[in-house]
Amino acid sequence: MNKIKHITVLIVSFQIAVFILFISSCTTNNSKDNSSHKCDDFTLQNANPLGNWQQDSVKHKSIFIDYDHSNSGFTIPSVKQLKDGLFAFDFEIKNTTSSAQKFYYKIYYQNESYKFPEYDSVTGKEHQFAEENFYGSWENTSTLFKEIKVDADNSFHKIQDAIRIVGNPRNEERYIKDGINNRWQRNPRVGEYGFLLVVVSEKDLKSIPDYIQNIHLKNKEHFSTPYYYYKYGDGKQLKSAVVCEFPQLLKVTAEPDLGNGIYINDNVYQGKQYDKSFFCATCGQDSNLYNNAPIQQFINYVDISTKMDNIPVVEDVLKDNYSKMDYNWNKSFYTKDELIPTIIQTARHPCQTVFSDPKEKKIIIKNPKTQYGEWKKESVGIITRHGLTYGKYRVKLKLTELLNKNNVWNGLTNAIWLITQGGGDWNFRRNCNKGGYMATYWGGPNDKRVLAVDYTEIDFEILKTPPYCPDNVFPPVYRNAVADNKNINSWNVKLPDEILNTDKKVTVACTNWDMACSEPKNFGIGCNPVEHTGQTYYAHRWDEKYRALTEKKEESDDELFAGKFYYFEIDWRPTEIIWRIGPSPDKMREVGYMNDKITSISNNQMLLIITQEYHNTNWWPGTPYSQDNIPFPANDIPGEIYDLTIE
Amino acid sequence: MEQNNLGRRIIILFIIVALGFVGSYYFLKRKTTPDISGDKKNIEKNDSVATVSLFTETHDFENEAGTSTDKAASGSKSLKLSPEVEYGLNITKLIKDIPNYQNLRQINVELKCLATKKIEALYVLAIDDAAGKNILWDGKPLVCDKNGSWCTLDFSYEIKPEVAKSGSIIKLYPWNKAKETFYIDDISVQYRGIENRGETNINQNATTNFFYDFETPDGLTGTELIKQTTAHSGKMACDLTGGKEYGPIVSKTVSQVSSSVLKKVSASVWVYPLTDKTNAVLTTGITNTKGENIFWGGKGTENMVCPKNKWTKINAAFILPSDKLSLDDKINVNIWNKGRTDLIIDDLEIVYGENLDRKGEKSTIDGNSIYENKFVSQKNKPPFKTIYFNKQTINCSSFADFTPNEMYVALDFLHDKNKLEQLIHIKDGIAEIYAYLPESKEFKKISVRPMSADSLLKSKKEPDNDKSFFTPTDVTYNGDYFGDNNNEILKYNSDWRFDMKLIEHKADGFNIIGNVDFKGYSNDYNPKYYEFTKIISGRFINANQSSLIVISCNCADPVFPRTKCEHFKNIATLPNSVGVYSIEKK
Repeated sequence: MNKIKHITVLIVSFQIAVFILFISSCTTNNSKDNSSHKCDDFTLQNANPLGNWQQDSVKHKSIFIDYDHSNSGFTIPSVKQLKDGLFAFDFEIKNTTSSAQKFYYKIYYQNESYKFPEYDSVTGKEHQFAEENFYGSWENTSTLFKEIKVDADNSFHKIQDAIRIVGNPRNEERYIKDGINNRWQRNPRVGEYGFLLVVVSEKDLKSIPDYIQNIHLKNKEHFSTPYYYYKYGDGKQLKSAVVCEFPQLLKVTAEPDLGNGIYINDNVYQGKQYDKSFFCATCGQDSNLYNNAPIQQFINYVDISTKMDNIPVVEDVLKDNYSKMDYNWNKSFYTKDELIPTIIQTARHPCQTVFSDPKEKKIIIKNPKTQYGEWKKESVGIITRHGLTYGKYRVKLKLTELLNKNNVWNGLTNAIWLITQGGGDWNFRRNCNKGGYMATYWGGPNDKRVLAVDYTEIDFEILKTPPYCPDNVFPPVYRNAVADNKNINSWNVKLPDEILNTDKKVTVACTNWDMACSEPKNFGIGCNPVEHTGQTYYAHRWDEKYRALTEKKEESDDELFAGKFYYFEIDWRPTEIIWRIGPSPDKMREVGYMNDKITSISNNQMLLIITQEYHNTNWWPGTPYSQDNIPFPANDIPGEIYDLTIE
Repeated sequence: MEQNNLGRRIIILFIIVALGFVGSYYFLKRKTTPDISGDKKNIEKNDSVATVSLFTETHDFENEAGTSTDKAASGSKSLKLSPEVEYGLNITKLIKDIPNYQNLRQINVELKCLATKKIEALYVLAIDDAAGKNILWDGKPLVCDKNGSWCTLDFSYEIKPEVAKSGSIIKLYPWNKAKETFYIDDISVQYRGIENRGETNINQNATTNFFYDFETPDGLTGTELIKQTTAHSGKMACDLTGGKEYGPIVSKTVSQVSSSVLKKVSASVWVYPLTDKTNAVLTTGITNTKGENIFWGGKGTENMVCPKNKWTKINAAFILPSDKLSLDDKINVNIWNKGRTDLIIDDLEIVYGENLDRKGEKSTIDGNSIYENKFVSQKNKPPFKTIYFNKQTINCSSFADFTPNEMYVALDFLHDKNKLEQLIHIKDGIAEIYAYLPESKEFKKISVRPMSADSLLKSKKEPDNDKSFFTPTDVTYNGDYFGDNNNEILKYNSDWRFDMKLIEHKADGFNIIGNVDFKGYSNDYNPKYYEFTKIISGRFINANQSSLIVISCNCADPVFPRTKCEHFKNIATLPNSVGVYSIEKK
């Protein structure tokens, strides 16, 4: 009998709880919630979290990140965008008790586009990585719930306040050094932001844990997200509380103005003197560029393995009708003493090969031409100055064609890639708990393994090289050439059919540098299929110590680089990476896909790089043209970057 | 005076016609007709064992110790043999330094000799093995009947395969048996070897590249399963149905396919499964002379997408334990039907090793000097600048039948107001004159009417070249190639490649201005790519600037000397052609 009583009490309690929850929480996709929400002690209505920010033409509230004076981190909105640099919010509250009451409110925000779900349906608990989500509240985290006193006058009282989105919203010690909160080290993410308004009675406030009231605090060793607490955790049980969620209220997009100049960072020259004679108003180091330029010149890391003995030929491979026969003759008929010992070079005269055009708001890069006695292959590129975690990076650009009309490669690799912002501890990626990461980017297979590293990289690399997968036709069987000038066929060796069949194509290589962390469930070596949206990709890793996983797709060089422009997109999400290309943003197609089941997806802060770079072709086994047998460039090789959108 | 000129013209014309007759006699005696029709039936470089030049070297003794300045055929020094000198300077060569040395079958020596009387001397080839034991000795008499003047002698030494081992050392030297006085200079040594072209129908470098289309069993063992069936190419393929496990085997010793350390074998084969779940394995195994396995590698289709009733290519590369290999070890490449399912295989291709290292010594350029923009070129040392000769837009259709076999002379024959030189083409005893017509930009054959003897005599003057700078196989041309009233020299050598250098002669000697290359030609028709090229230099189209008429052909002969091709072939991608090239005036 007692048992039946207990069950009845439980059922009734559950029904009451559900009812209370129903009346005390709200979720709305509108920017303003006109409905009223009741709980035991008060009624809330007309909550309006972004009252001073207007909807755009498609009735969305969206904002572009202001890059000006943002070296210390982005603030959303900036003081240029809104007076005081704050979003206003307000709501109306009516005391439904018989006496004056103190109520308490707090507003949270969270990036909804790039987050782990707060609730893990497998464990029934908070998702282990939800603490990585970008959420915040008032930037002074010691401001907990704010108190309001409401008379029992049966009328609504309007409460007004303000908030902004800033970096390091939890004020984590990880990003504070020498007393300075380096909010730029954990910049606000792009994408859609939701807001969560919580109003509670004094009684319920005491039930809310400190680490929810103060997001700076951890629950044991980890942060616990208020979103989990209120939506799935103990916060659901509060009887005298209204939790009002606006899930996708504000869309934040980064669209740096490429005409705002290129900054030159002394650090890349490691304290060495360098030529500043090419500095100008749109490229250099003046205070305007320091504060406002979103881009800086990128200097490639020069690997000693790029040392090579190059043929002593200076030609414009793209324009001089350079043919396979030219390539073959040059490959066979130069003696060792005629070769040029050289390494791939980087810009020694900053601003000489990168230009920011304020009028057309674009950036031009060019690999410089060279001549007899100078013989250089110089990589060129730019890099963003402000790191971000996650985002859909889409660039509109026209980089150099890679193949000429005879489908001979000019030796360049067009690359659009994300790289770690560096920094060490503060920018470490999530721990690899199975075997660890390879310690360094450049180390060999005997590198030590470590729990965490700051190195991350996600690449588009486009060059002339064959796919590794499916592996039945890899490696291509190249016939040996012999330098016999009395027999053309001995030196003018035909490429194998599997190479000639895609003669007009270049390979779009999509790579995630996971530093060989073997924690993902389906970590593998060799070629492994990955299915996504009806396509099968083959992810390839040379061996278990190889730091990167690559998928390759062959695409027309003409389509990608002979037209006026083309779009490339890296969609970096917490659990997957999608590579897309296309002629316009609405016609993008997938060319690569990876998820966290096969590779460790980085979660630290990265920068975007766009380069036209010379690679040692030994990095790309099976490549039909060897870098040292490709001529030095006789003319500048330009590339143009028209637009960068991160959303 | 006028009569004198006329007389000279007649004499010169007579000489030219006489030269033509000599040429004609030469052709008739050989009973051959140069063929530039492009019909290459029966004359492909296929299905034959050809002899090819493996390596050539020359010695002019200008920079070697122990030489004499008494006499010289070229330059200022030669090798002097005297009563005190019984053995002349050794030319030594490690046999392994000769590309594809395993195929070495012949050493040809050409040298110049000067003696005042008949001598009793030999020119000796000696080969010692790695232990220093002599394994071949052959002496050829030095017979020179031109008392007091240089004569050219040539010898040919046969080499047996067993002598061509990597550790052997070749020595060439004169033996002054009677201890007399004589001189030797300008020794050219050509190492020749066989090239087996029978096993490949792709006619690549047969020593390392092999292709088996199974149309014939050549080069294969275990061919009983090859039959007429579904084939990837041709009609024949290997039928591995009914549980048959092994396809044909290609078996070669390491020494047959590699002249250096063998590190890799690459192979491909086409597979046509008749069932699902096929597992065909392309294998490479190596056994030593005792029959012990040294290496085995295989790549199978078990985990590949290999659909039935469809041809799928399998590529494989096997990295070999090169430090464990001996020249006599046997490499077996075959296909193993591991799954014993029904399948057909065809078109097996095997590439042994990788591209040979480039010849020559390592560059002495300091890479840092380039990086610091401080490169300073060294006189007459590579790398050189490139000087481009541009193809001129000139109608050369009247040269359509020209080949490099014939004789050509540039002369101002007409001596007219254009002051241009004409091209004299001598073939079958007939001399024809072709003149450039500036108005129509074409060359036209004109009637043989000598008009100026002075210019003819002048143009016949040999270049006064310092022979220490030039090798015996160099061909030189004098001309004002920049059109700046200064003469330069073109030095052309085709021993190893098309190698033409533009040279200026100044007070401090010869100075290489640059390597000559060509521009403006159609498609791939760069003259330097042809197998056989004739160059004639003259002021053909501009009285103030020398141009080159370049006759470029490909030769179907398995092997041919630099001066003569029996059968020409017209390759679609590189048709035989004639063009006029000049340096663009700035």
